[in-house]
Amino acid sequence: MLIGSQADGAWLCGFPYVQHRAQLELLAVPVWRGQPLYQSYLISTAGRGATSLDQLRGDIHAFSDPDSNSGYLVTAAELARSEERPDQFFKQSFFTYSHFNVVRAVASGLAQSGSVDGYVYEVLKETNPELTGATEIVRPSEWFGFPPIVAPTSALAGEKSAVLRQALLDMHTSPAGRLVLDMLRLDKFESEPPALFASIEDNWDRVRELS
Amino acid sequence: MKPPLSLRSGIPLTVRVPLVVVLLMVVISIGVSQLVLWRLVETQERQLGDLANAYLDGLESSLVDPVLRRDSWEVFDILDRARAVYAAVRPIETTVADANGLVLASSEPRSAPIGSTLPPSTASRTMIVSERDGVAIADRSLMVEGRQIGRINTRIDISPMLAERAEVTWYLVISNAVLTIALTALGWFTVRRMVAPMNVLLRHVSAAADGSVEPIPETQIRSQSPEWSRLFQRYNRMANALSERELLLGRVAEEERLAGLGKLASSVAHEINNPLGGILNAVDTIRVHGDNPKVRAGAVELVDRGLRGMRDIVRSILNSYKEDRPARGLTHADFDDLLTLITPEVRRKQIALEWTIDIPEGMTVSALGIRQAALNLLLNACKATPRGSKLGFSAGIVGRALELEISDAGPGLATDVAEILTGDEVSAQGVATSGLGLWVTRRIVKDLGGSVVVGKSKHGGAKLRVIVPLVESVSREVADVA
Repeated sequence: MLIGSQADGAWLCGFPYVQHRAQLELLAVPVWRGQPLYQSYLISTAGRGATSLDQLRGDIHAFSDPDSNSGYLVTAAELARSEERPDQFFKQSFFTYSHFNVVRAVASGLAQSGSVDGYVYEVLKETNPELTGATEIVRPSEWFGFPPIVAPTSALAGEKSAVLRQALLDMHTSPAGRLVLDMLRLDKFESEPPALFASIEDNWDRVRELS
Repeated sequence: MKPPLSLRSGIPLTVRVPLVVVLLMVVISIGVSQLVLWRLVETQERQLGDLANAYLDGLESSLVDPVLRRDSWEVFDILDRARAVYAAVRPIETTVADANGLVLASSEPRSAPIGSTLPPSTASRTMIVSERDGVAIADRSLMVEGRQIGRINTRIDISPMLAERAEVTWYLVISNAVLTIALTALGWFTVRRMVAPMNVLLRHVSAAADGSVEPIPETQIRSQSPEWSRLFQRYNRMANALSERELLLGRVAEEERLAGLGKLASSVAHEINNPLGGILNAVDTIRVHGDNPKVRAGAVELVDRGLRGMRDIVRSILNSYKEDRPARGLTHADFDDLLTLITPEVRRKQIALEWTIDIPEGMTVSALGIRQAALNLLLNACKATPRGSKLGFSAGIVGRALELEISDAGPGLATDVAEILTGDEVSAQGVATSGLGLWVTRRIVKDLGGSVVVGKSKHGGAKLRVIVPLVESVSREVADVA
């Protein structure tokens, strides 16, 4: 929708931003727990005690989305380092198209493990502890650039992008903006360079090389 | 099948009717309960089938696409959300498999993991109800253009349905039990009330059979229904008639006794006449030849013998007919008196009498009763025996009873006459034929607790055996006879 200029801005995962960087302009990046970074979590059913990806071999695994960094790319890239693909490593995998649904799939026992956004998982621990209580974190990944707010490059010259960026960057200074940030469990928005997402691009390259 | 007569007749009506009510109520209750439960089960299963079909219809339309795409997550998501939407159906577990029976997703993934095999549906019906497990299992094929692409299998919780069924069963059992008890009590009270007049009548009839005929009091008659009241009044008329009959028979018997005494007196007068003539002759002889010691002694001896004979006859009559003497046991003297009393009749008809007495002295049996009974039977036998024939009389002890046997050479006893002596009931015709003598004899023997057996005598006529049990004390027995 952004590329087709049907939307003026969007909160996008780092992976599609990297994939379409030439057509997208980085407006702002959320700051969560003091830094503009987040992690991908590998999770499994509670009480299993697994601590590494290797222990999840042969599982039925739930991914979030094929265009998600934390919900797919991080795990696929880690397997690619061992020259393995998810369809080989896992007995079966499927996409739930939502981080929340990944937690549901693992908590219900439909999947034995899953790849989920660490930020979403931490927020769910506060809002839906019964659901996350049926799961446990196998291991958090390295840190990646937090999913940014982006706009299509075609709109760069426009007033809208500038207004939107400034509104995001000033959000933490107004009570209404503070309320929104508290609801999202974020500290603020700030400007970051595209290099923040270089590690995601590396993972994408690794996966692409294997396939 | 009819119960044995003894069982039927042994159970009072007040118990039998409530029992029949109980049996009927139990049979009706079981039948009605079965019908109600059958209808309830049918209705419940039809409603369950409708609910299950609605549930499976809803799932079927949503599941075709994800099953075709083999999208386990979407299948699970649909099943998981349907659990809340179809809460009224109470699905416990719903599993979706592909055409090969491999599980795509289940609402309970831990019991039916992805890739496991769903057991094939073995039932021809689309739904199986298992009351033991409290579940109903429904199976539905997922079809696209006539081709099976998968299967939906669901287990539905029917425990509320079974609980409702059990509750209805208990309601039926309790309500039927209460109804049965109430109707039984009602039946018992009603029958008891209905047969109460019958019990009154039965008591009075039983008492009458035992010889105590009492009319039903007027207060009891007035408290009854018109039907029973009429019946009681008729019973009272009958009881009064019986009492009058008993009284009349008693008077007739007394008159019979006095008539017999008259006859006997006539016979005895004839018997006394001979010694009296001899005595008068002896007195004349003494008056004329009294100076001659030898003649005087002979005349005095003649007077003495004549007077002793007359004394014996008078004493026997007194012993037989004087009622206000004290009670005493039977002795040899009583048989001597009997012999004295019948001797005139025996002589008159020139009967050969065989007289055998083999008893100890002072037997504990009423002397008065035995004397009267034996005298009646002997006089009857004399009457029946042709002139110049034989008549036998014997008295002895058999076991703990006195047995008298009278055998004559007469024509024998007619059946209705014999029944007067042996039977409990006496026909008026029999009494008319034989006179009251035999009827009085039967009453005496019956009062003494004895019996009479009629047979054929060796002399060609009747043989009567009178058996009277010995008692501990004769005074009470005599009082009873009186």
